[in-house]
Amino acid sequence: MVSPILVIALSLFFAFVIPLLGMVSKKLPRLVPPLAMLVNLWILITNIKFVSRGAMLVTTAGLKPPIAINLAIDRFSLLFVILIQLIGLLLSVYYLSQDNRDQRFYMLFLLNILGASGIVMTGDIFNSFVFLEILEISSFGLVASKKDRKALEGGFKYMVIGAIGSSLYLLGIIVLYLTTGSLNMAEIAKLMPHIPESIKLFAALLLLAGIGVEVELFPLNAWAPDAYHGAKDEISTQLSSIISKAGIYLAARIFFTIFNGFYALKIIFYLGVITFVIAELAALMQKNVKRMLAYSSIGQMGLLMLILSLVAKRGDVFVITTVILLALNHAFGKGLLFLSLGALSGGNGEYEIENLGGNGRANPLAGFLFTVGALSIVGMPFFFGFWSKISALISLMKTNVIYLIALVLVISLVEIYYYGNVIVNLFRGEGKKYGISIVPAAVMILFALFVIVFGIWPHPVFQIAQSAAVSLIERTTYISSIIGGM
Amino acid sequence: MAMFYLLLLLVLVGIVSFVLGPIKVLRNIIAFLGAVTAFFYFLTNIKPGLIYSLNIRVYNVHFEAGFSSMFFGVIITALFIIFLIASFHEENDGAYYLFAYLTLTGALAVLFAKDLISFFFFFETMSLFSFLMVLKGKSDTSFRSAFKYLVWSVFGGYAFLMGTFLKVYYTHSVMIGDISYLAGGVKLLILILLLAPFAVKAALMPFHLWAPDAYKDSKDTFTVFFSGGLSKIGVFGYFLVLFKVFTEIAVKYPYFLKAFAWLGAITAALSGIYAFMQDDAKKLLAYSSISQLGYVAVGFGIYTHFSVVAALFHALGHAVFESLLFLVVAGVYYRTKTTDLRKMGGLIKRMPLSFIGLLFGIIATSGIPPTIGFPSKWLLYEALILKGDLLLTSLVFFASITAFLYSYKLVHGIFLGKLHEEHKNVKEAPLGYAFGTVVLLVPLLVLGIIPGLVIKPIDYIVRFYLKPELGYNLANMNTPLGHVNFPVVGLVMGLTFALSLFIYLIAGKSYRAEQTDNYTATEAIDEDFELHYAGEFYGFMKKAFGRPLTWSFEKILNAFLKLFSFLGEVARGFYMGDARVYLFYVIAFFALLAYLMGGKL
Amino acid sequence: MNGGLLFYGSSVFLMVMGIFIAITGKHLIKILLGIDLFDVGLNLLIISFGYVNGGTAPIFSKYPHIFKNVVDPVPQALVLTAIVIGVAEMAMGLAIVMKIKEKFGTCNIAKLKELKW
Repeated sequence: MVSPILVIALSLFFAFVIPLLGMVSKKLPRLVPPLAMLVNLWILITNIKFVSRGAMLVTTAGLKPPIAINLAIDRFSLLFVILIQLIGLLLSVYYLSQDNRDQRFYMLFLLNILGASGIVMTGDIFNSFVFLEILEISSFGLVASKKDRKALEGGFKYMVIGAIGSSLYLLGIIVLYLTTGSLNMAEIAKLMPHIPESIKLFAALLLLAGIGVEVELFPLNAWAPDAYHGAKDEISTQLSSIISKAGIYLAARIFFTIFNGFYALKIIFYLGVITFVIAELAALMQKNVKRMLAYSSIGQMGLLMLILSLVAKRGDVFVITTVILLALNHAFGKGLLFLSLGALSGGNGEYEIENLGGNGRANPLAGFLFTVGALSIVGMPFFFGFWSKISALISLMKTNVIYLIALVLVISLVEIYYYGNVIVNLFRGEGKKYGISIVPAAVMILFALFVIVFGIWPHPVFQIAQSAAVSLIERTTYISSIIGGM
Repeated sequence: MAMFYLLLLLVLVGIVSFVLGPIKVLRNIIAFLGAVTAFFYFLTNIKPGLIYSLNIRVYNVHFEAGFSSMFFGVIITALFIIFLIASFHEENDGAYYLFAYLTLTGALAVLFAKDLISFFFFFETMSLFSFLMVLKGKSDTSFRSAFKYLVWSVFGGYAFLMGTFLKVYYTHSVMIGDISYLAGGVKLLILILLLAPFAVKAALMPFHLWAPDAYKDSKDTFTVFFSGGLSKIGVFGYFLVLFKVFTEIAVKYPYFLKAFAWLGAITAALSGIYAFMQDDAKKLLAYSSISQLGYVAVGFGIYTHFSVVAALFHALGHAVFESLLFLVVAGVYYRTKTTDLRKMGGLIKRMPLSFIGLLFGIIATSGIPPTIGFPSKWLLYEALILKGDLLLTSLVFFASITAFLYSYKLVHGIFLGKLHEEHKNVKEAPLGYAFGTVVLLVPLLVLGIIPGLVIKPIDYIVRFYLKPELGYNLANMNTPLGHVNFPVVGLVMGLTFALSLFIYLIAGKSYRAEQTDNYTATEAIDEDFELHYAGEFYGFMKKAFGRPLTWSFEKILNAFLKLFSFLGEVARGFYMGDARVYLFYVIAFFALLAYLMGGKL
Repeated sequence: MNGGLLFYGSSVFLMVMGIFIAITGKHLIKILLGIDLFDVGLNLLIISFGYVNGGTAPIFSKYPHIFKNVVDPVPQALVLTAIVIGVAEMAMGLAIVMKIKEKFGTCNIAKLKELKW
C-alpha cells in the first residue's frame, strides 16, 4: 500500500519540476502530465482493496483527526478521484500530440487535476477550500490560455464569479467553525445536530454559493457558457469532465454527509430543475455548436444536481448510484463531444452550424465520434446514456416526484431536437476535410469505447457505482471511521 | 432461448456485413443468407408461448412469443428479405446493412418484449437505426426528413416511457399486463401515452407528419420495408395496448374507441385526398400507405371480433400491396432515375412485369376482388354497418373513393400515356426487383381468393379477447349480415374482365401505333410537345378541397415550435454577456435566498 | 470571541464596498480591486471572530490558568492561507487583464461582450 497523500505531493512535485525540465528541452514538459497521472492512478489502484465501506484515514503530522489535517477516502471519493485522474490521463495523452504549447500550460493542467483530486480526497473542510481555490485559479488560467479575445473574456468572467463564490464558501466554513469549533468534516457532521437551525441554514447558503459556481447551478452559472465557449475544446472537456465532477462530489459530501440533507438539498432541488429547464431551452436556440454543448452541459449538471437532491427524501442508494451513472455519462459523453467537435472544426474556432455542415461526412471518424457522444448524452439505447437516463427516471419515480418524469422527458425531447439537428447537418452536403492525427483519435476512441461498451454491458459500472453509493449513504460509518463512535 | 438466438444472429450478421463492407459480393451473400436463415429459424423454432428472460444484472429482459408477435414477425422478416434482395442493386455501404439488420433486430425484439422497459429499449433501438437508414437516403432533403422522423419517433417513445412509469408507479409491475383495475383518470392517461408511439409508427393523424417525407426520401428499396414492415409495429402496438393492457376498454371507455375510429377514418380520408394531389410517385404512395393504415385504426376502433380480424387482415394486406407498389416504383426509379409522375409515362411496354405488379397493387389498394385488399375491406364495411355509425361509415366509403383516384393517377402517370423521349431505351427492372414483385403477387392473389388461410391464425389471435362472431373456412365467410364466397366473387370478377377483353378484341376498332405517334386535329406535333398529362391531374378536386386543406397539422406543430423558440430566447436572454451582471446574479441569488429563508434564519 | 462592533462593522463595510465596486465599476482593474477588497474584508472578519478582547497569544505554557484569555489561533492560520490564495488569484486576474488590454485595446468591461446569449 502506498499512501494516497502521495497523489497530492507527487502532483505538486511534478508540476514544479516542469519548468526545470523545460530548461533542458522543449519537448520534455509535455511528457510529465501523463507520467504523473499514471503514477497517481497506480497509487490509487493499490489502495482500492484497503478502502472498505467506511473511510480510509490518512493522517498528516502524526496527529489524530480532529486536531490535524487528514485525508478521508471512502469508496465514493475513490471512484471520483480515479475518474478524475483517468480523464486527466486521457487528456494529457491528448496533449502529447500538440507541440505548440507553453510549458506553463502543463503546470496549470497538473495543478488543476491536483485541485480536483484534493477536493475529492480531503477530510478537512478548510482544505477543501484550499483545493477549490487551486482548482479555480488554474481553471481561469486554462480557460484563458488560448489567449485570443474569446478565451480571455471567458476566463475573466469565470474569474470574477469564481472569486466571489469561493470567498462566500470560505465564509460558510468560518461560520461552521465558529459554531462547532472544528474544521474536520466528520466532526462537524457529528456535531451537526447541536447547531441551531438558523446558523446551519446560513452556513449552508454560503457553502451553496461556492459549490453552486462549480456545479453550474442556475443563477451562479452565468460564467459557464462563456467560459466553455471561449476556451479551447480540450479545456471545455476538462471543465465539463473534471471540474464539475469535483463540484458534484463536494456537493454530495457537504450537503449530504455534513448537513445530512436539510434545507440546502431542497434548494438544490428547485435550482436543479430551473437549471435543467433553462439551460436546455437556451441550448435549443444556439446556432453555435460549442455554445450549444455548453448549455447542454449545464443542463446535464442541473439534472444531476436535481437527482442528487432527491437523496434527502429517502437516503436511497439507488439515487446516489444514479448520480454516479449520470456523472460518468456526462464525463465521458460530453468530453467526447467537445473533443470531437474540435476535430470537426479543425481547431480554427468555427463552430457555427452552417460552417460545420458536411464536415462529418468529410471527416468520418470525427463525425462518428460526435454522433456517438450525442446519442449517449440524449440517452439512446446501446449507449451508456440510456442507462443513466432510465436510472434518473426510476429515481424520480422512487421518490414520488412523478410529474418531474414528464418534465425530464419533454426536455429530453428538446435535447433530441437540437442534437439531432447538429448530427443531421454534419452529414449534409460537402464539408471541409481536416486531418486528425493518431493520438487524439485514439483518445477520443477510448472515450467512445467507454460509452459504447458499458452501454451494451452496464453491469460492472452499476456494481461499482452501487458500492460507492453505499459508502456515501452510510454517513455514520464515515463519521465513526474517522473520529470514532457517535 | 430461440428468440435470443434469433436476435443475436441478426446482430451478428449485421456486424459481419459491416466488416465485409467493401467486399460487395461476399457481403451481399452473407446478408442474404443471414436474412433467409433468420426467416426459417423464425418459422421453425419460435412457437407461441415461448418464454425467455435474459438477466443482464441491471434488470431482467423478458421475452415472450405470442400469436400476434408470430403473425407480425413473419410479415416483417419476409418483407426484410424482399427489401434485401432488391437493395443489392443499389450502391450501399456496409454500414447500411448493419443499420438495416439492427432495425430488424429492434423490430423483432419489440414484438417479443414482455416488459415495458425492454419494450421501450428495443423500440428506441428500432427508431434510432431506422433513423440512420433514412439519413442514408438518396436525396439531399433526406436529412430534413430523417431529422423529422427521429424527433417524432422519439416523441412517441418518450410518451410511451411516461406511460410506462405511470403504470409502474401505480401497479408496481413493469410487465405488460392488465391494468383495468386502476382508477379512472390515470388509466385513460396511461392508455393515451402508451398508444402514442404506435400512432406515430402507424402514421395516425395527427402523428403522421414525418411519414410522407421519410417514406419519400429514404432509399427506394428501404421504403418497401419501412412502409410495409415497420409500420406493422404500430399495428402490433394497437393490438397490444387495446387488448393486452386494457381488457375492459370497450366497457369503460367506449368514447375513446369511438374517437380512435374517427381518427382512423379521418386519416384514411384526408390522406387519400393528399395522395391524389401529389405529383411524386413515392409521396403519393406514402400518403396512400398512411390512408390504408387509417382503415386499420378504424377496425380497432370498432372493437368487434371481425372488425379486429379485418384490421389485422388489412394490416397484412397493407404489407403486401403497399410493399409491392413501393417496390415497383423503386424498380422504375432504378431505370428512369425519377419518381416525378410528370416526367414519366408510357412505360407499359418497356416494363411489362412492373406494370402488372403495379396494376394488381392498385387493384388491391382499392379493395377490388380477387385481391388481398378485398376481404378485409368487405369485413370492415360489414362491421361498420353493423355498428350503425352512419357518418363514420360514409367517411370510410369516401376514403376508398380517393383510393381509386390516386391509384389511377399512379398507373396513368407511370405506365400509360405518351412515352418520354429519354425513356426510349428503358428496360424492365432488374432481377432483384422482379423477384420481389413476383413473390408479392402470389399472396396478393392467393389470399384474395382463399383468405381462410390467414383468417384462421388471425382468428386465434383475436378470439382470446373478443367473442367470436365470424364463421369461416378456407374460402367462405359467414357474418351476421350474410355469406360470402371469395373464389366465386373472384371468378365473377375474372369472367367480367375476360368478357370485356373479349368484346374489346372482337368489337374494338383499333390500329397499332407507336407511342410517340401522335397527331392533333390539323397538324403534326413536335416530339417534345407535352401531351402526357399527369401534373395537375385533379385540379378541380384541388379547387374543391384546397381551402380546407390549407389548414394543416403542420401549422399546429409550427405553433409549438414557435412557443419553444420563444422560451429558448427568454432562457438565453439571461446570459447577457456582462460580467458585472453575472456578479450581480450571485449576490442577488444569495440575498434572495436569505430573504426567502428569512423566517428560519 | 467578541471582537466588538467596530471590527465586525468595518469588515462588513469593506466587504459590501468591495461588492459594490465590483458590480458598478467599469474598469477591469477596478473590478479586481473590488473583489480584493471583499477578500480583505472577509479576512478581517475572520480575524475578528477569533479575537478576544485583551487576550494574549495562544502559546502552550506550564501555567495554563494564567492565560485564560487566549486568542483563537485557528482563524489566523486560516487567514494566512486565504491571503496567499488571494494573492495568487489577484496575480492570475491581473495577468488576464493584461492580456485583455493587449487584445481588446481597452479595459472597459462593457466592451467585453463578445460572448453572450
